[in-house]
Amino acid sequence: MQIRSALLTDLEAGAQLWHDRIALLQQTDPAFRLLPDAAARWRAKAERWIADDEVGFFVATVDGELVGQVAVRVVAGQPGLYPERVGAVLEMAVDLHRASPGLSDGLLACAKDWLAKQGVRHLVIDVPARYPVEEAFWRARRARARFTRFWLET
Amino acid sequence: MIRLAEASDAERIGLLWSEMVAFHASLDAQTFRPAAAGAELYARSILDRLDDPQARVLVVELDGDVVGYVSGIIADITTEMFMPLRCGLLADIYIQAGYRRRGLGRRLVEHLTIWFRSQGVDHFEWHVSARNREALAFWRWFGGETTMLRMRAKIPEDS
Repeated sequence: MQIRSALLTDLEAGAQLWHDRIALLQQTDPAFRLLPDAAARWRAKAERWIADDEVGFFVATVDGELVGQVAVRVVAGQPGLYPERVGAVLEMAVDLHRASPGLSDGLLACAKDWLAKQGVRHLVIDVPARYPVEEAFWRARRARARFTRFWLET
Repeated sequence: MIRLAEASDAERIGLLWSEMVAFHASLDAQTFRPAAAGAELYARSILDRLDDPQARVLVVELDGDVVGYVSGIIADITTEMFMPLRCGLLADIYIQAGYRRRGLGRRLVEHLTIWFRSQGVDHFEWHVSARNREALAFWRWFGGETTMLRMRAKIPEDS
């Protein structure tokens, strides 16, 4: 397995990984409503990530095929509170059909290294409340729930 | 009385925010650590919102004292891959100790909800400290549905 910075040529397969994850989330929460051209929109967004110095975007490949990706951005913390800058996870997805030992942890380590080089010491992740697999993954990596997000109709 | 916040309220709202942070710090000291001059920074962010047509700050005034506030904004919180969703965000709400359990918080939320609705917004979202059990129970009673958990992990020094 190789982990490296993302390239434009990774985005076609990356869009598929992203789409597979969202398709799973849609089964647990109807709030995730994709547009018909969602994959193309994701590619356009990911292209901007590659060009953006404030984003760390890494992919994992096995035998030349994309099997995972992570993107993190340095963002301002909450006004008036420490930490003043945090690393937000923009995207993290792995190929569920090609499980590779250490894949997710390898990607995460890369993202953390990149954030540490930017002087950022905290990683923030928004985890879907109805998808316990991801919550368990992050809890096992010592992430702790800080906030619960609610919604209500007006 | 519930009314729109004015510039002259900003400093007082900053102090209420400090109380709110101190309360939350007693539940979760790692998440709620005020930055130096946190109250002033917060007061400045409130002033910015007063002139913003997509934002609303309301206060509760009793006997000439502001004892609580709520702030909300309207934004499209979805990324471009999803159906656009113009949504209200309840940023902060606080009622000073001693004035709670009088329905003031509920009335602030109701006033903010009316404003959201008047702006064509059909739902709103907000964050609650994961350790504030009383607030979590209140919001569930209020009808709120959980959508996301915001989690945080420390990046070790040796990364």
